[in-house]
Amino acid sequence: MRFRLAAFFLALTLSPMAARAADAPPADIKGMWLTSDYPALQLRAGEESSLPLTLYTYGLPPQRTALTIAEKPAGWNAEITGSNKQVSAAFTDYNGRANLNLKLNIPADAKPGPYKVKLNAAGEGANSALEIAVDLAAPLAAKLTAAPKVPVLKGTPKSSFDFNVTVKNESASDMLVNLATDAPRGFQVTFKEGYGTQEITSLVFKPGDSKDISVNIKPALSASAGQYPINVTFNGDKATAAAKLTMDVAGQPSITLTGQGERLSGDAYAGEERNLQLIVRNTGSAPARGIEVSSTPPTGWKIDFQPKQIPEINAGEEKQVTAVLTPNAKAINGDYMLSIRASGDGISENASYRVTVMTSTLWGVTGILVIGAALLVLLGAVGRFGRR
Amino acid sequence: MRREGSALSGATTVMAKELADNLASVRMRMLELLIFVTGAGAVYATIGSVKDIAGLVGEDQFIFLKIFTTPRDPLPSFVAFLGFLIPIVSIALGFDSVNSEFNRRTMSRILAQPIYRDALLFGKFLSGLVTLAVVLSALWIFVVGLGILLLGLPPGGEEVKRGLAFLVTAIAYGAVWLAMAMLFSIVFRSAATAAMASLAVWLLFAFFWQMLVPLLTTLVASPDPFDLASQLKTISIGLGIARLSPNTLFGEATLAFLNPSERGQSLGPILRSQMEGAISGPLPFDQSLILVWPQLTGLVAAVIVLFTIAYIMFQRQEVRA
Repeated sequence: MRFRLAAFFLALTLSPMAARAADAPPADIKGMWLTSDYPALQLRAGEESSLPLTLYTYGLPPQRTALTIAEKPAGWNAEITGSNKQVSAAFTDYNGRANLNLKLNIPADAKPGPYKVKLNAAGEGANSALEIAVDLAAPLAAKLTAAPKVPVLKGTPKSSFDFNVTVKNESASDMLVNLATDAPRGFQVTFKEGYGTQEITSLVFKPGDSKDISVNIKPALSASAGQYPINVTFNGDKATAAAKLTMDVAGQPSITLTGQGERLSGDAYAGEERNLQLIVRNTGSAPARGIEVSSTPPTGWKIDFQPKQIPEINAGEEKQVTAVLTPNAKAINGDYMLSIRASGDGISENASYRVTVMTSTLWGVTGILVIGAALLVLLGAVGRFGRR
Repeated sequence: MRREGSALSGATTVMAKELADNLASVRMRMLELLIFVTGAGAVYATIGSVKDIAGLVGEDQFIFLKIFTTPRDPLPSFVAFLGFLIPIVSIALGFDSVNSEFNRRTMSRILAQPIYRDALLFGKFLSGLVTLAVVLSALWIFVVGLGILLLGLPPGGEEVKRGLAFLVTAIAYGAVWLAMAMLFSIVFRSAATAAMASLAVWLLFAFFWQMLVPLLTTLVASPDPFDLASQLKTISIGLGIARLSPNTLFGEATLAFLNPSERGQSLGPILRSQMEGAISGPLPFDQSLILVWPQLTGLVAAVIVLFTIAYIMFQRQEVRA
């Protein structure tokens, strides 16, 4: 029993050592290797690529290993780096390793075909050579793609249409892309990047970059109902992409209420009927239906509209309405405000009409009659008492 | 004996002579001086405050009319000054027009000329009226000129119309007092008595009438405090009594002419239902005129009635050599 317990503790204390032993190289391998994960690969001209290298020194004493690029195709730029620095030697521990990188910069005009890059590692009493076979492919053609997420949107002339277009640079180099549309006159187009707030006119794309561009289009208020195809073009310096968007603008009626000659004022005599001409105009892009003209006049005033209801006004047309107004017979002279309302299905318009109430000059005659009577009395007196 | 020919033949001659007397008299000089000094003082003081108001309110459409109506402590407004001074000028012009002829024993001498008695009275009254009109017009032009000079802006067409209407009202108001003073100069043989009587009436209307009106109203009507109609009736009776005074008529007429936004709310009771939906704004001139047309015709009719009474009394008087 004591024995078993001791063995258990021994196993416990030994277990980390056992784990380390599993990481360690097998005891029967001894030497130096400079290796790459992918010793044969395909690259494209004009691209810069980085290959991970590993230097193993198994069963050798700690030592310094010189690293050299023994052979590379003419015009290619190659360098060995470690920890992002250019290196020409690496130091490895007993059974150690060093992680390195090979950076290859292939000129864009390199001809496609097989190439070789040879690397040498020279340590104390051990050497290793690595040959990487590069199959150079033709450079990629510059390519830009644009894909709208929802290409057709529907709305009214008052709404704003928000399209989202994903633009991707599928070429090997940076690209400056200008944004343009062929929206009809009066349509306002703004470009924004993703969820940004700044308006943009151009964007820089890195190779492989993909960006969401929101295209906001506000139609002209006078735009009639219909479909408006809009081409958004993304002009890069090497490639062009286009997105076809469609705005489906539904018509909307909109009415205004004015007097004749755009005048919203008139005069009336207290207690007398007066006709005021009003004009209901449809300034929208769809027919307005069931327009009812009404008003809540002050107490004692009467207002009647002829016609009370207009069944339909086509877009851009106007209809005349006669308001028959009778001010309160006791209304005092001066200005009054009448609120007149025109409302149909979903639309409504208010107009304040200024009515100047006047007193009829008929009363003035009474005053003249009083003076005339006084003069008659005077004349009578002159006739009666006139003497030498 | 019946008269032959027009009652007015010879009236123009009398008028011209009387006018010459009036305009050249020392009394006239003193009155002119009084009215011009007080008028100029009131206007000069007012213009300072009008400038303040103009700066505060911004663009006032009728800034020029404010010269007439804006008071400035301790001076009353120009209009209020005129309300006091016009009766004094009129009384001064009329209180001895007839009785002085008797006292100087010149009446029979004048009537010995080929002039009718009617013509004498018409001529005297017209000359007084013309004198009054000349003085007031001169004062009006003087004030407007002072306003242009000190405010630096000309009056607009509407303001000129309203200003002229005010001038006409002032002349009619003066004519009432002139007719009354002449009536007293006929009734009383002594000029001093006529002057005292005229001044007594003036004092009554200028100072005591406001106090008497509520008293007289309660004598005539007793309003039921729970009945709107009877209260309204009482108010209108009170207004009717107040309007027996030419001062009230003059005040109301000038208020409407010089304050374009006056729509009758200061001239009588107005129910809230009448004002519903009303917005403030100036009235057109002709509407202001219609508003106070009763006041204007009242003043003119008062002149004619007072003159008629004076005429009848004068015609019935005995003239001895």
